[in-house]
Amino acid sequence: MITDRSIAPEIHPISGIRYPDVKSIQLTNKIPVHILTSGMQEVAKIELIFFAGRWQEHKRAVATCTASLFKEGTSKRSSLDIANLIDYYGASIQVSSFIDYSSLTLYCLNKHLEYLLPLMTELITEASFPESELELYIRNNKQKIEVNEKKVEHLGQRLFTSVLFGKNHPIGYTTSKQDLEVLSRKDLLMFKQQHYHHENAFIIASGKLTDSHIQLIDRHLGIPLNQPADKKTSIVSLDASPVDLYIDEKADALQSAIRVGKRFINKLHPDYPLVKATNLVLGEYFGSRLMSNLREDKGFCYGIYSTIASFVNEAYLCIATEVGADVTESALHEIENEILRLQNDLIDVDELQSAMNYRMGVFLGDLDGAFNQHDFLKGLLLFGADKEYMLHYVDRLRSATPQAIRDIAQRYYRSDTFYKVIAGKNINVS
Amino acid sequence: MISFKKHTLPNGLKVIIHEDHSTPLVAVNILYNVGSRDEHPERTGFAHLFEHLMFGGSEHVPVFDEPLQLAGAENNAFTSTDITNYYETIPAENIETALWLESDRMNKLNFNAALDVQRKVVSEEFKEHYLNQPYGDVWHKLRALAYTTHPYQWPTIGKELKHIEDASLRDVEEFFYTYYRPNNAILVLAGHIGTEEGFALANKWFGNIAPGSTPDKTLIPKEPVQTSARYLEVKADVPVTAIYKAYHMPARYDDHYFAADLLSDVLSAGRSSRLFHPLVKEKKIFSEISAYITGSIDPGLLVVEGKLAQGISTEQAEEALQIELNKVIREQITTDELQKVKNRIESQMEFGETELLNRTMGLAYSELLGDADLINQEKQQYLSVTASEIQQQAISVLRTDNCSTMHYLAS
Repeated sequence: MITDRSIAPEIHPISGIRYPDVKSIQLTNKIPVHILTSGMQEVAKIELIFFAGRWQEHKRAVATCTASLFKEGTSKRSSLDIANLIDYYGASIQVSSFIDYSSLTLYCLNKHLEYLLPLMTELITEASFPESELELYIRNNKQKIEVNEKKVEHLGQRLFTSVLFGKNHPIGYTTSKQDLEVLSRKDLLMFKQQHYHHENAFIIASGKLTDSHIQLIDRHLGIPLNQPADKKTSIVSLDASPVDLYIDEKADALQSAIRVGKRFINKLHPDYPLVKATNLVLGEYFGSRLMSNLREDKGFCYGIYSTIASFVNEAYLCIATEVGADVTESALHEIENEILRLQNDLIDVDELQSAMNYRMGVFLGDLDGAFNQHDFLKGLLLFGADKEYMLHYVDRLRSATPQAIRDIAQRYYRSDTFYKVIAGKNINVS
Repeated sequence: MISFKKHTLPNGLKVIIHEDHSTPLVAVNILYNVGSRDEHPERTGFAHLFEHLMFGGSEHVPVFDEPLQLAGAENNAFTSTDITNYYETIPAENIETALWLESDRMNKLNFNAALDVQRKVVSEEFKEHYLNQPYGDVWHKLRALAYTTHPYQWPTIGKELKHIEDASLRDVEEFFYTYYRPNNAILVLAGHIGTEEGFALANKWFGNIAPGSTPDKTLIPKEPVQTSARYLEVKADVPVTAIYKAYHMPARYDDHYFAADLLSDVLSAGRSSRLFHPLVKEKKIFSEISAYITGSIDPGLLVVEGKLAQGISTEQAEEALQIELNKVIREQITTDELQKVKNRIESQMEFGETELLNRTMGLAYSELLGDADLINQEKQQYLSVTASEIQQQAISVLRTDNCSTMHYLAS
């Protein structure tokens, strides 16, 4: 058989993007549970999500610190007892904290759910945040902060978010050593009491789950989880006073971290799908304009991305890269050029088609299998978004036109609305 | 249990098909049996640089990524000390686009197109991850200390920037025709594809690519047995002092490999492990500590690394660490502990198999080791390890004269 490689195979349109097959129920305590069942492997992932992130903090860093200490002791068990129990079953319980929420996620073989769900309940209701564990956490994390301060990408990001939002804003601040030093056990207990209760939570359960597994979930997570408390006001305050260009100089740096961006619209804004389409073309994938220009054409950097960080009450746009120190100015100039090009020229239909097809393929991957669906669904539920939102979103992306992209670029990507931040060596930017 | 069918084309390309019709996607994985261990000591970083060049276009394809984006595919690649691995996940109806691209670049890469730019890109990658990072050069130093002869003495990114800057077009061509031949590759198609269809497509797109000579892996210099302790002290612009201890351990093919891997889990998997609790929690000697293996095909390393807690000297840290290591050398681990590391392996494998791409790469790698079915036998190999075998590994691996120690001192 002779294969002629000079003829490219026909490309078929991408179909089959479907909303996950999710079953939603309520536990006895009224916590909503969203169940995604699929897969051959006998595994389970149970994530209990509380609206207990930075947005709800009464003090900087308390959300992350509280999350980090859940496994460090309860009224019944020491941190070693807890670790022994989790490790014995080859399981893991990850407790993580973000801007909008914190969550406890149990990963285990489904046959072990009956031994580990009771521990999940105990952590939430009985976590005691021992003084000695808090002290150790603070000491070790101060070291991590010192290490981070040696990285230009960290310095760049820290300056960028503080320029956009100010240091008293949940998105604007970067945890400092001082923030950690003033945290007390009382703060953690208070944060837990105010935010970690069943009226402030939802659950996503995925994997190979049967009805008896769901019953187990109800038996252990369906009981009252802490007393619902009145919410304290959080510390959100926007005190940014940005100027055009900020520089954090690091004398010995071989590369500069560049951050260019602005406060932005979030997922719930009607223009969001088209803004995402525009941003995709600019810098969300390997074939994007920024990547093609700064990496594949000029070799300035290993990578460059434009990201929309979308939170429940806020959002920002950030173009981020680390470039050779000697090309910092040229790189900034090229970023500016790409933003202008989006506003001035209509995008070629083929380029737009290629970007959108790529994105549809990513959707297929995001929706493939219970664990991917789990994360996808969380991204919707946090925003109160649903099936209709997703289908509308996909539809709007598919039907984006060159005119619509240019229009969005003109409205949302005007250069004089962007702030620039550089962290690196001997920066001389006009 | 991962089911699959295997077939070798006349040109030597090994083809494996794994059906899973629960996904609308197909994962396409091509593993080339070449890594940084195949490099010349004066031209290091070449296997990885070459990985970048593979995206620079081929005889009938000006830009590799463009047709893939149009076909809704995601793709990437990585290079290790032992292999270079390329993969796409693509909607099943567009699988031929991926096969066309992979076959065109295997048949005839456009050598010249990308060399100048990719030399720069890789130099920036080198700076970003290894030079402009606290602790970024640790592996350059540690490998050079632990290996005197074997090419594992340099990391995949390369020994120095200059080797990458000096790469010539002639080197590139020679490398391609030595290593990027069908008889030095393994193709796995997994997901929403039929076995017969998969074999037919593999034959259609790859069947007529000419084989090359088989690279002789026995020429890779062997590492002599280490007979005395090695020590290196480095002063760097980092805020926290770190200790690294690298011990030579059995090769991936060796029967003792699995016991040595479990030994590293006993030491540091989970917060109830041997090192974490006493050293981080109780004595507060380290702020972080971990043990892991490099898992390479030729004899690799079991590494223990830790960052010192504030006010602790390297002597105190070494002493406290040695006390814990001595315990696993002198006494067998308990039945519970053995069960724990095995439960962990079982759980890890089940979770690993949930991802199509993991299964795909796992099949390719197992085939490289000699038989794709090893992926299914591995679990049993771990589960049959005894406490006594783990102790034997502790005794033979965790010896002082088998150890390269690096103290990376805060300035």
